Amino acid sequence: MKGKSWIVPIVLGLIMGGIIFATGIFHQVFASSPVKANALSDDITTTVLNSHNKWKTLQGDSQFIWYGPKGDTQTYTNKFYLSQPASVYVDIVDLSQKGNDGIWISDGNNIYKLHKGDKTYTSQIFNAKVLDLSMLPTSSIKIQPDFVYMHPIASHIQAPILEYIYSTWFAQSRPNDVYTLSSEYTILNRQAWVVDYQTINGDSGTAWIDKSTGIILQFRQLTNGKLFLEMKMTNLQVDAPIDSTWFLVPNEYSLVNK
Amino acid sequence: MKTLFRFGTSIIVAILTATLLSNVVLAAGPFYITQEPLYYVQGSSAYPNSLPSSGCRGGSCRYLGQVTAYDGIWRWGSTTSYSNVNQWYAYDPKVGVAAADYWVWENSSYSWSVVMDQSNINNKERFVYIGYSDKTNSGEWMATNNGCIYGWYCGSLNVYWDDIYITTK
Repeated sequence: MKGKSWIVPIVLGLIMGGIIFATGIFHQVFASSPVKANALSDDITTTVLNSHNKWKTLQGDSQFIWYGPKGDTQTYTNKFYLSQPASVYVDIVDLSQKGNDGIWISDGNNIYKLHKGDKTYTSQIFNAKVLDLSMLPTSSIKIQPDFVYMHPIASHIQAPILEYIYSTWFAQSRPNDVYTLSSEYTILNRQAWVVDYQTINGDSGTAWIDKSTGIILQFRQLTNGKLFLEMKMTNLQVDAPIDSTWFLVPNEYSLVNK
Repeated sequence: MKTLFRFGTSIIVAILTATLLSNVVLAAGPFYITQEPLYYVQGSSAYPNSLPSSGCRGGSCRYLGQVTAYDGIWRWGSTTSYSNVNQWYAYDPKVGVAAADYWVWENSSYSWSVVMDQSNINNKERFVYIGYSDKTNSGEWMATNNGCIYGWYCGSLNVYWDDIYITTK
């Protein structure tokens, strides 16, 4: 074969290689795929990963019981109102009366943290990050074993119930985590998957996942074999009208610098 | 036959090119950063305790016991450490048990914070995405503190400083 006749295939190869790299196909084809034992089904995975797209408004109540290292418990309620994309109200009440409670409000312009004790609040600008969902995996093939992405609202607004409303993290499994769909159940008149979860690091849990929205209605976690958390929603309304005044800071609160 | 050889050559060159480009990009970053040493920001000056543990990335991490209001704020890196950061991630060690506030300082007039639940069953032994930097800056940093977070258990649980991971612009 003449020398010049090799130039064309080599140049074509270089161009193809550049295209393959730029489009990320290389990593998808040649990167090692995690071996999943007892993986969460695609149906449940997709529902949970895209949960935030399956409702417009939510309102309800929830209860958290934390089990402390010394056999003690702390109980909190989280009353919530949410209206997409980013209007949020969560009233956290500490039933153990240790004062670890307050109110979070987002009106889409600012995020407010209200301190019930002295009726003051601090303000944080609602920046573009809170609405940036580009990092969230939307399907099982986009889940990365070494990284996990919380929904930005659940990160920026620091109320525990938001972790179970924006439940995308639950489906972002590691290769050797074991999920078992043990049954289906009705909670708050809603059909739920009951999924048991065992991690390689010794934690385990059970999640009751709403089949229509992917929201976690109830959750139970054991850490190192000991009960760590019991969460349950006690009231939930999906896509019911919400008075917009819930997302305003009450007049009796005064702004202080952070 | 010649056509087959040419086609095969193209394929081989394409694979080698994609591999080479991938390795070049990885060499430019991102960056894994250890919690050794931590730098003081404000509050209590008690340096976070060291915990040698296989549950921490690299075999050790640091911690402070929770307090009801934040006490010690400690950051990864000095003020001159990180420039033009794009994404921030924090490693949640296997031993994580508390929710923690992570504060990113982009410049003297712009900072923001998020919560990372170190007890979350799916966060442990992984890098949890914290957020991205909007600004171009030569002195960015991230810190955490040992204050309780409303609604999570509060009572002297350990808050951990382990490795972080950043990408640059």
